[in-house]
Amino acid sequence: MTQTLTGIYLPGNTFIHRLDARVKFFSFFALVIATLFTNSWGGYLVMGVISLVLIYVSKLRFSQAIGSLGMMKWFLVIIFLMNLMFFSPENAWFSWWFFTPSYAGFLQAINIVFRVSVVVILSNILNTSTPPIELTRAMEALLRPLSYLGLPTGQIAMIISVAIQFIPTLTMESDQIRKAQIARGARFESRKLTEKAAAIGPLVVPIFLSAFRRADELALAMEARGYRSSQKKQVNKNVKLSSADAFAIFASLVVCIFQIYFL
Amino acid sequence: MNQISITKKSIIAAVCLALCVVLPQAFHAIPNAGSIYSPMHIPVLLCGLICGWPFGLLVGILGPILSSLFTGMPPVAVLPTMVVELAIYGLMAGLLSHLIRTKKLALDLYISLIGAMLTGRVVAGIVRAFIFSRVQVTMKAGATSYFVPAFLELSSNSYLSPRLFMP
Amino acid sequence: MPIDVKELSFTYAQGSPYEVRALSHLDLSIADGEFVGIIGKTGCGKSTLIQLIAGLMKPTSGTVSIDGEVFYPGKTDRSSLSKRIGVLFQYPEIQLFENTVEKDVSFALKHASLSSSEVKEKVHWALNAVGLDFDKFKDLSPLGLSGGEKRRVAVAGVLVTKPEILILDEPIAGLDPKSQDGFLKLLDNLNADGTTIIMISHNLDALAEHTKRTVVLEDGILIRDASTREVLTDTIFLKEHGLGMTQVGRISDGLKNCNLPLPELPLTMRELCSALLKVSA
Repeated sequence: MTQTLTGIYLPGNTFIHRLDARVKFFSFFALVIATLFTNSWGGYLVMGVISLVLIYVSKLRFSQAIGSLGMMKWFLVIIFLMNLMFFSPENAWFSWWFFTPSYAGFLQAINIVFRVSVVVILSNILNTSTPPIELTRAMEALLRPLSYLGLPTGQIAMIISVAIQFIPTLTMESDQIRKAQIARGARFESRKLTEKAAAIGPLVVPIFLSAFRRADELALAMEARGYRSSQKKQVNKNVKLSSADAFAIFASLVVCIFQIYFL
Repeated sequence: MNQISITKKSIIAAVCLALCVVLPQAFHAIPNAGSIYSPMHIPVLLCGLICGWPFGLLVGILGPILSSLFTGMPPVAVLPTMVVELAIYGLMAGLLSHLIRTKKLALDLYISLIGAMLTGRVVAGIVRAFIFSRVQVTMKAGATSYFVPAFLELSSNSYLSPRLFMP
Repeated sequence: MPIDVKELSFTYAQGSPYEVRALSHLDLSIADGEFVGIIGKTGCGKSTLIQLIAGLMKPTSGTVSIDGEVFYPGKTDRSSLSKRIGVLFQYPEIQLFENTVEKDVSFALKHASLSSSEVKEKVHWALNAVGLDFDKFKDLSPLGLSGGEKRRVAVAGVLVTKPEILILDEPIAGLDPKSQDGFLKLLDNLNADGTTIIMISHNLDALAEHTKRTVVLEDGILIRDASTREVLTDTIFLKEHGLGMTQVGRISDGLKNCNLPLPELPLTMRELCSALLKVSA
């Protein structure tokens, strides 16, 4: 049972852990938008400092925050090089084959790599400071206004809750299926493309079959109990926000507006 | 596929959504530069085929998001492309399965699946180019890194669908 | 192929806040041809232990050696060993996936470089061993079979390589009594042929009747390793560790409480009957 350790919830009691999940989501989006609009060295500095402060406050180990960046490093290198080389053939330093590196390209490269990195770090902080259940509840809450447009948010919320409940069971079962097939000689770790494609059957088919079997049982049970999809679920929500929450919203809005208009 | 109740469709969608999170873990999907060959498209396509386009679309959108929230995979930077791609998969699988009515079930399935995946890949490729906007990526490099995994997915799907629909 | 476990420890999710210590410093040796039962309360590490023995996970520390060679995923080429070790998980029917019974059962032989007639022969043997008629079942879809038949197909899929070591996790759970008996009889036959059998079970009656040695785990530690007779007749020990009792044990205990103790502690039903006959004589 292996787990990727970046990006999953780590329990704690920091300022960020105690914020309401909806507020965190909101602040996250505000800060992401701020990042996407940064366009100057000063702006980068501000966002960089903010990221570091957030990492410090969330008591995340620096290695964990940077962790998912590490996994993406080749992606970032390629984007950097492509922008450097191809962005602006007009003002190139020199031209060799079809490579045309330029200062404008260099700036754009830094731009993009920076933005991607900050967004990844911010989402890491969000993920590690919030239990997934609360994140999905926050998502449902933030989507609720859309129900006025005719979107069946209650139904969607139900689907998400059921899915979350199934995840641990299906994970254990798929773990067992994987081990059982390996014990029978299946090769999942192979590098060869053909073997990799063939490995899918013994793993995916049983997982799906057992998942659908459970779906059948659950649907039967629900219908037998008279569940009607149009029922509105009463969600017992804690609508009260603390002063810390208000501060977070305010601060992120300020940063966002600041970045868009001044930097 | 119209005989299935909304409740049942919702549960099937929920299960497919859960599988979007569970399958990549089972596969230890290895991120490579830009595109993750992940098995997440399978539950999305199936959901679209079985439950219709609204559920397929929903699972396509929520699948990568939920998986990212729960397991950190796919990484957030890749998320927008993936959401678009899978959303189209789910949408098209649902639409095509509804519209295509040859006499043979297998043929229907193949056409719907392949159609969905081609559309999905094409649209996602366009979106990706858009995100890279103003970078003159050579079409060949972009296309190859994108369509080779697509071919793999196609072949694995052709192998899987009969198995899943026949019993 | 003797199994040798030394100082085996295993921790799930090590380094994360979800760390769970499943096994601590386990020492265990199993010789060829033994029939060993593993018991313990839920969560004591039994499944973890057999998965490590089967080489499906890498130990956190300590070693598992099979036939003198240290064994964990990635080290020894699994395919050579996977044919010699068979693992049957709980509710094994969930691992079925092929179009036909024949194909599913032969899956374990895929990388075996055998001719197709040899494969067919082995599949034939395996299906017969579990009581399914080869000609009747070979072209059916495994997914359309009844629960009991599915279980048999899954078992055949593991037996088809004629493994020297057979590891089973709660193999008779969910089976009707007749099928349970049939399955245990199959295990007896395999053991008589020289197969080493390691079986996890909560069903102490089955273990009393069929195993020769019992290993007891608690909280990841091996607390007792002795003959089945010694462990399963020790009703005080069993009660103390929440392991339940055999029917025979319950009867003997009951008789003792009624001041009718039996001269020797019986282990199996047969011994109980002869003891009762002796006493009444």
